[in-house]
Amino acid sequence: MFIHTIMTNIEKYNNAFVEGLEIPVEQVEGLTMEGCDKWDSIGQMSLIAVLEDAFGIELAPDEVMAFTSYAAGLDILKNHQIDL
Amino acid sequence: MQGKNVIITGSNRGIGRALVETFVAAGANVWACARRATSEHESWLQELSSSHGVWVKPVYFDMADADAVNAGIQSILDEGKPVDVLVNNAGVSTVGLLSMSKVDDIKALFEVNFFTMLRIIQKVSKKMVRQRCGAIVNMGSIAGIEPQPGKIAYGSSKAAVMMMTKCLAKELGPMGVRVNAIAPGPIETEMIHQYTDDVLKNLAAESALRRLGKREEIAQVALFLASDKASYINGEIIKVDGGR
Repeated sequence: MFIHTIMTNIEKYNNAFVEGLEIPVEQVEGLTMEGCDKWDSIGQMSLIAVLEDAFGIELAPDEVMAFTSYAAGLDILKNHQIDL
Repeated sequence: MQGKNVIITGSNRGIGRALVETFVAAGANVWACARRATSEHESWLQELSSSHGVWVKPVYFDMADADAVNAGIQSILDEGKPVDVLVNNAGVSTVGLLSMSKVDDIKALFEVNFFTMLRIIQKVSKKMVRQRCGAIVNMGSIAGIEPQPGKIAYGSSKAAVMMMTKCLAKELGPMGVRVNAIAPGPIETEMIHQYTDDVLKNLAAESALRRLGKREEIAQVALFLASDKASYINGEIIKVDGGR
């Protein structure tokens, strides 16, 4: 039987960290750039690319710069009218 | 290049036309970007498409209009297809001594030759980063390496393109995206007709091969750089000038 599941926005958001930074989902909440070795400038590019794809948005360069923590990312997405 | 999807800017004349023909002949699908639609351009693309069994789609935007560039590139990305190669070929050329050049005109040239290229790469590279692969080929120029009087605008803009290429190769390389550039010498295109016969003779004499380059000779290098044959070449500027 084929079961089709639709991810919630928060699941999509968490999954962007999993896919973009290649970390387990348990580590995602509360994550900061400083506290994660894989969240370097290269990880940032990858995370943003996955996130933009997942939500169909384009982040401005100043938003990319401000995206330095899990919490900051939530605020940025809310500014794009994404309910989380 | 069989089955690869390729974006080529400045596709309706000169080197751009040769680029489209070369990539299509190698089996690539092409988004052929140009400034404006003409029936000649569209029927040429249709012919290429049917004779090589690939798709060749025209995408129209003015390189001097940032909103139009964004919309044009976005329309490509919205198709949801992988983008394997980006060839940034579109550019404009001027000749003018400093005392006769307006800074605003130099800014306008930089907008097309450098900033628009950067804008396109910014959008397309995100897709390539997500794919974890891609190849970008930027059109530099020998004018960006060898200083010449009258080339302050064009030469400086192409020098900027080539340094951008090297920087981006370092930034994007870790994500599997290669960025290289070609620095053509004088090539037989429409652009060359701004010169007198004497100047053309001198330009040819500067090359060890004693002739101008052909459009196809640039396109073949672009094809190589974009292909897996160049899989370990990143951040290079390939001079294609017949030896100077």
